[in-house]
Amino acid sequence: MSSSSDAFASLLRSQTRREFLRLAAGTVAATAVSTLVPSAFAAGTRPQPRSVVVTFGGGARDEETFAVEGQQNIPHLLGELIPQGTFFTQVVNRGILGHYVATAGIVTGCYETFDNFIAQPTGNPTLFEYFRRGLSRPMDDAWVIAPSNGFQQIGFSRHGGYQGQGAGVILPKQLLAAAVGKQHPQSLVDYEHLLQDNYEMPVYRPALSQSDGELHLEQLASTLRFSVEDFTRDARALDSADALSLSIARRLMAQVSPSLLLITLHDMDVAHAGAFSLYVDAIQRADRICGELWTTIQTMPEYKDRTGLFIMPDFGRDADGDPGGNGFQHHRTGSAMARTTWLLALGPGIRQNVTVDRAIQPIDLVPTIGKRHGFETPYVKGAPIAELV
Amino acid sequence: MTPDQLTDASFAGYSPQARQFAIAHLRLLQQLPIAVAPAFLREIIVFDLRFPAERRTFERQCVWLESLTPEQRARLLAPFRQISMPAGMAAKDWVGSPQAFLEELTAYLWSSSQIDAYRRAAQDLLAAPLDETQQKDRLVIVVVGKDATASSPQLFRKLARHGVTLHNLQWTPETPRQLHATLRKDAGAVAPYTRWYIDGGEPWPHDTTSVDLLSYAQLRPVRENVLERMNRFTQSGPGGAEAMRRMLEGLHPAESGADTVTSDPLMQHFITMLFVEGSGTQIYSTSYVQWAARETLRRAQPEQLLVRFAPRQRQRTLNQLFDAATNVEVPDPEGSLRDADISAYYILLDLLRIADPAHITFLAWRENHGHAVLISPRAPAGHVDDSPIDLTTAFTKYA
Repeated sequence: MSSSSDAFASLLRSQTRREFLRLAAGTVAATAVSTLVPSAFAAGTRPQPRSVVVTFGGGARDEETFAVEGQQNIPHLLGELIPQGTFFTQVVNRGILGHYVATAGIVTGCYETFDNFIAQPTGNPTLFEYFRRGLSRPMDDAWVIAPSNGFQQIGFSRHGGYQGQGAGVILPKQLLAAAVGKQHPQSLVDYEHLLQDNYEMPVYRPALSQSDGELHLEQLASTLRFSVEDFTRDARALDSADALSLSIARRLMAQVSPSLLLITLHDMDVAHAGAFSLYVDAIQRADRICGELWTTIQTMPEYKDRTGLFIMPDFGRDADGDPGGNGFQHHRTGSAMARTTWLLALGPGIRQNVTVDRAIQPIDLVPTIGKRHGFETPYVKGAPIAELV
Repeated sequence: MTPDQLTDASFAGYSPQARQFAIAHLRLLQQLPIAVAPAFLREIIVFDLRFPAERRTFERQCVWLESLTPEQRARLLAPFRQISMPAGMAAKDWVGSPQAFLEELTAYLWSSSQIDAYRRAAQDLLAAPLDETQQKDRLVIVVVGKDATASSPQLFRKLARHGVTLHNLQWTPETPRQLHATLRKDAGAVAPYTRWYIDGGEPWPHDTTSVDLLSYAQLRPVRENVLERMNRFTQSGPGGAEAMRRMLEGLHPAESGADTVTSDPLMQHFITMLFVEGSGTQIYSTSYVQWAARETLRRAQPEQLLVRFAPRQRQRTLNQLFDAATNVEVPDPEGSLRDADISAYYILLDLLRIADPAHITFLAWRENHGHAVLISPRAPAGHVDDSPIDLTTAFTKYA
């Protein structure tokens, strides 16, 4: 395909995205609305802002979400959240389409280039480091909840200028494995293979050393202030790993009230195993979880009316007809569908029921949040999103 | 080493037919940029284990490139010459281990933002004109929904726009036998690997001499073997999906257990690769069936193919973490029906990649139900037929 036909395909795609979103949500184009909406964060009137970022660490395609045939899967996003926020229809990821490295790009504002399958700190400073250093915030004020084992080092970068100023990372599956292991040591052997957390490797499982386990249990007791018994009892009522992440996020928000929180939902990456129904079920759960998280934000005084919620898949997945891929299963082709996703932003200073069709990038999120909170992000490659600052 | 330095001796380690092919096309290989030459050698190095149809396809690709004028060929190859690579890469053994080289190159292309340019160049390079020899008629039948009981009004939604939807196609106890008989309708001397039956569970009774069978039940030893190797790999320390695949790709049929399933070396290799290269095929039968159908169409290019989905195991939930007694494989027929629905559409797309639409007959049918979609040149696209109709009449009327 030539570059000119690529551009044409992109244009067609743009048209399609605009159309289905207008039809779906009845939203208004940003250009038709005054851009001079006063920011709730204007000097002198603002409370200390908070930001919650939700990424889908398993891409979701238009077909299963905002396209006509997918809208049945996202009633909460479509019916409850989009009317309250600004929706960006084209977020184009120009980096490596691997979940850890792409999420690393989201939190650094730079496209990271390391091996996606090796857990390692990012090369560029993270959002959390910019935040803590810029606003002199303590460690407890920035957290990451990520169900996948590869993410344990995403809180801190290798960058020399920000040492020791990253975020705490909670890995719910590992936490649960540690708790179950403590409560029923014999059972863990049976349970371990169920803690599948990297769907690109069908039998990947969390490896828990003794020190890992102790660290998780310490996190459970001191940060979340949960007993092993209460935690495992509560987890029993949940239907998925993403639901566990939401449960832990709520606990963290209630106990610690971090100003900056990143949650990566990952259930939908079961798509790599090729089971379409499980992938769609996971999208439906993610939709429900986003709705519940926004409700949680609105019901907690520490968060209500001062919290921006940013929801964004890290990228898409391969198109059905792309011979280089296998449809929804992977994100290996680098095609437009695999690279293009969306962003929904809600909260104070963010216009409601608006869609924005111009293309932005996932690396634009860090400078945007920096500007909203008032801290510098000197190493980012992205740019603040004008509609959100 | 660079491609222009290739000689006959470069392929001394290749198996006989692979070596013969490489030498026959040496001039072309010498002209390829190093960014793409290993991709050709990856195909050639396993030439002895390729099906006849894919050998012909690859040879036609090479012959077409050789038939171009030097200017035309240079234009197609120019984008590959623009690809920058780390200095040391050319020194690697890309002739002896092209797959390993390509994996490293792919990772570099992603990290250096060259993957899109490479992809476009590859699409142009592979755009050989269609084979102008007489097209074969191809029949593919996909049966979905074994044991599913819920109504599914959305079933075959993606397929329906391409053919006629039958709401009352009569399924009887004789249907499985009829479907197999339909495959054999144009019998006569059948070339090897042209008639296949893929089943996600226990296969229906059939004439074992008339089709190549790939059933999930039959291949259980192979998938369990591969899964066990994957387990050991993950327990041995850090790695990744690519490292795991490197570990598995050299798996010999005697090691995978494929030699206990068939004595045919081509089939042994094919079966092994279904579980080595297929993602999720080791766990879910629906993933296996879709991938096996895709690879069969892509590689063997059958003239008749019967595909039957069966329930995969249910996804295990967090609740099961707390109760080892429930930690058993439980089938999920309803979820499997949804998996099979989109898979049937993917099988149609795979079929259309090897066949002219004017020469295909494609039937997707819900097992034990009347709901089906028939796609063929004579089936009006988007049409719905609610009348009671049996299989023979449906084919007579629409295929």
